[in-house]
Amino acid sequence: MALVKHGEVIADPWVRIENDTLPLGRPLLLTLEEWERLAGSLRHWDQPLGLILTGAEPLDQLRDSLGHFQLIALAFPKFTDGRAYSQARLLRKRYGFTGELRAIGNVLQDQFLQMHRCGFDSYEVADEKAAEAWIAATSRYLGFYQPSERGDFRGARAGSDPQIFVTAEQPAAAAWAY
Amino acid sequence: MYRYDEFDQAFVRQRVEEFREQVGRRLMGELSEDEFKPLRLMNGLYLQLHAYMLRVAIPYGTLSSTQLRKLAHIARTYDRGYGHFTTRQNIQFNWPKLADVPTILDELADVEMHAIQTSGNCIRNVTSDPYAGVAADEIEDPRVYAEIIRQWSTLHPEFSFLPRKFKVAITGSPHDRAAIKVHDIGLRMLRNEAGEPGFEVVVGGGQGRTPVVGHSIRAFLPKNDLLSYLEAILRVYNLLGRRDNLYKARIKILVNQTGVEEFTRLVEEEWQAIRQGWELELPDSEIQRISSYFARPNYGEAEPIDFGFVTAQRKNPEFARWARCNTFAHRQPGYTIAAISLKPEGGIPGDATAEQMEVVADLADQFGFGEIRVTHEQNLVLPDIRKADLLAVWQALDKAGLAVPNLGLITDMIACPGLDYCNLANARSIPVAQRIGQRFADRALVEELGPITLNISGCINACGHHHVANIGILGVDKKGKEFYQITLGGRADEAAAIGEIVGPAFSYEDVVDAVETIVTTYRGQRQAGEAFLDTYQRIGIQPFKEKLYGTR
Amino acid sequence: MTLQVMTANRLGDGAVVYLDAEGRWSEHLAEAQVAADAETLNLLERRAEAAVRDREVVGAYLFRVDTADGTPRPIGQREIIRAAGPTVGTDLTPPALRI
Repeated sequence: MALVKHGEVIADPWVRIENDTLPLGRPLLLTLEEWERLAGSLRHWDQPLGLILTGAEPLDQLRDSLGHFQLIALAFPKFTDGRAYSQARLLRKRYGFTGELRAIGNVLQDQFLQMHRCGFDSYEVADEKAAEAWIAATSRYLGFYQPSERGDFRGARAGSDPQIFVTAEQPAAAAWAY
Repeated sequence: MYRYDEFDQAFVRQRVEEFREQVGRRLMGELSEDEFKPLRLMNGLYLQLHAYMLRVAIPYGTLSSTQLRKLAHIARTYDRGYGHFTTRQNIQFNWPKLADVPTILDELADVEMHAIQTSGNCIRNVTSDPYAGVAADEIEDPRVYAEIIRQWSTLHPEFSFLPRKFKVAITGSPHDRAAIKVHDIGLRMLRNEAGEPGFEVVVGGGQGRTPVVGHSIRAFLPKNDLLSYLEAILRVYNLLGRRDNLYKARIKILVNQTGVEEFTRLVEEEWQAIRQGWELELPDSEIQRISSYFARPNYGEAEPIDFGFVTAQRKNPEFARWARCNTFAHRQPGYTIAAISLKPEGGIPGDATAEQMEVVADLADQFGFGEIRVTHEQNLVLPDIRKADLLAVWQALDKAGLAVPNLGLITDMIACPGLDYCNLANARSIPVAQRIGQRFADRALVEELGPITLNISGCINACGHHHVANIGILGVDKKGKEFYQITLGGRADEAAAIGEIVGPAFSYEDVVDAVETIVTTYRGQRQAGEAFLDTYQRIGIQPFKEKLYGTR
Repeated sequence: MTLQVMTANRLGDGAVVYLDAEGRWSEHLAEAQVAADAETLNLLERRAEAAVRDREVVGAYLFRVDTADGTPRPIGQREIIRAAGPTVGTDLTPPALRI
C-alpha cells in the first residue's frame, strides 16, 4: 500500500493499536469503537489522534468529539459506495474539520478527482504510480459547474478557481471547489 | 436553446480526454472490466446483447438542427445507419466499437453534445415537457431550470456514486407531459399567491419492480432555493439509501421504508443546515443568465386566419387527419406544434434512420427556428411551425415515412428495445409492437378509438413505462417462453396512476388478440365522448377480465 | 449431461463470439466447441478466464445447446437471439423472423 498526498507518495506516520497496547510517541489512528472504549485513557494523550469512519456513522453525534482528531480516515468498503463523499463534505463544511482527511479502503485513481473536490487530502492506494495519476486527475479539468465555496456562482466557471494543489495550511478552502 | 460558452466547451473536451485515457487503459489491461464498468457507464456506454450501446444525452429533449445532423452522421459513420430515441429523451446507438467511442464523443463535443451521466449511479438526464417554451398551457419554461439542474449535477463530486441511478423530471405546465410523478424527483412549476414562481417537489416515484407514484414533500419551493433543496434530498439519499440490494436501492424504497413524513423531516433538516452554512442559493443573476438562452424567437406578426390551411385540409383528408392528430396548441397565434410520429404501423417504435433525421433537421431549418424536440414517448417534435407552412411540412414528412397520424393514439406505442437488444430483457417487445401496429393499421379506426396509451416493456425494469399506460404490456419469461402480462388503467400525467394486472399472461402468439379484445370491449361499452381511460374508470376491470378470460 | 457452449462479447467491438476447439473466438455458433463432459467444460472455463484476463473478451458464460441436427443450437431465447441478431429488421419495415 502507498499513501499519496499532494501528488507524492509519502511515508505514513500513523499507527494502529496492536494487542490493545497504546504505542508511545506515535500518532494514533483509532476506529470509533476503540475511541469510545479508550477515550478515558487518551484524555492526556500528547500525540495526534486520528479516527476511522466507515460511512454509516451519524456525524452529527460525533461533532463535539471532532476537535480531538488531526486525521479522519473515511473508508470506502467498495469503490462504488459513495457515502464517504458526503461525509467528507460535511466534515469540511458543516463541522469545520481542518485536519487531514484520508481516503482508505477500495480507493481507485479514477475517483481521485471527486474525492479531492470533496475535501480529501490523502489517499491510501494499492499502487505507487497512483501519485502521477492523482496529479493528472486533479489537473485535467480547468473548472467545474458547481459554484465555488466563496458563493460566487461563476467562481468555478471563471477558471481562476479552484486551486488544484492543497497546502497543509489551508486544506479546506483550496480543495473545496463547491 | 442553451449554447456552450468556452467553459462548457472546455469541460466536455476534458471529459472526452479523460474517457479516452480510460478506454486506453482498459484496452491495455490496466483496468479490469469491474473497474472500467462504472466509468464507461458514466459516459453512457453499455455492453448489450450483441454489441456495445452508446446513449447520448439530449438535455431535456431539445436539439438543434446541427446536432440532429451530427447524430445522423454518427449513425451512418460509426453505426448501422439508425438511432433509437428513448423514454428519457436521449438517443441510443446500438453498434459502436469501444475504440471508436472517444472519437464519437469528440464529434459530439463539436456540436455541444455529450454522453455524460446517461448511465451509472449518478444523476441522469433531466427530462422535461417536449412542448416546453411553446405550449399554450405553460406557466414557465421548465427548460431554464432543467439546464440549471443539469449544470449543477454534472460531475457533482459528492453524488457520483449514489446507491443507484437518479432521475429528475420537470414540468412547466399543469398538464404534465413529463411524467414527473414517476421519477426520483419530479418538479412541477407553479406560482404562489404573490405570483412568484417556484416548484412543487415530488419524491420517490418510480416504475420497475415496485412501481409507485411519487409523494409531494413540499408544496411550494421558491425558485432561488432549488439547488439547495435538491442537494438536501440527494445527500439524505446518498447517506441513507440502501446499498445491500440492487433491487432495493432507489430513493423510492428509502421514502417508503422511512415513511414520507420522516423522510421529509430529514430533508428539511438537512436543507436548513445547508442554507445556514453554504452558499447554494440560486441567484437571480444565474436564473437570468440561463433564461436568456431560452428567449422566444422572433415570431413576427400574428397571422390572420389562414384560409389556405383550412382549404388544404378539406382537399386532402390524409393531411387533415395528420393535422388533427399530430398538432398542438402553440402560445403564439398562427403557429402550431407539429409532432413527428416515429411509430409507423409495423415499424420499430422510436427508431429513425440517418436519412430521416436529416429530413427533420432540414424541416426545422426551413420552416422552424432550427429546433427539434425529443419526447419521452419516443417521438420527435417541430415546436414552431407556422400553420401556413403545415401542408408543406406534412408533404416532406410523408415522403420520408414520418407523417403517421397517430400521436397519443393506440399505435403510438412506447416499446423498450427488449430481448432483441437488451441484456436485461426477458422477452421481446419490438415485434409485439410491430404486430399490434399491423393489427391496427386502419388509421380511421385508430383515430376513432381516441387517445389510448399502450406501452410495452421487455422486463420488469419497465423502461417501456408499461406501468403508467392505459394498456401496459410486460414481457416475462415462463419456462423459457415469452409471455406477456397486461395491465390496465395506468396514466403518466398529473393524475398519475399505476395500472392494474388484468389476469394471467398471454403467449407471444395470443397477446395481440388480447389487445384487440380489450379495445373491442372498450368500444362496446363506451359512452359518448369517453376516452379509453374514462370508460375503464367507469366500468372497472371486470368487463375486460370477462372478455379476456371468459365468464367466471 | 447437458451440452454447453462458451460465449462472450469481444472487448473491442462487443461482437458476440463463441469459443471453438482451438481456443479461438468465432462469430459463428456452428464453429463452437460443445462440451459434453466435465473435463471439456473445465477447459472451456479456463480458456475463457484467460481470454478475459488477456483483454480479448468480456462477460464470458456458458449456455445450453442441443445438437439435434449436427450443429449446436441454443435452447434459451436469449442465446437464440444472440446468435441470430435482432429478430426485427433495422430498415424499419415489418420483419421476417430470421432464425
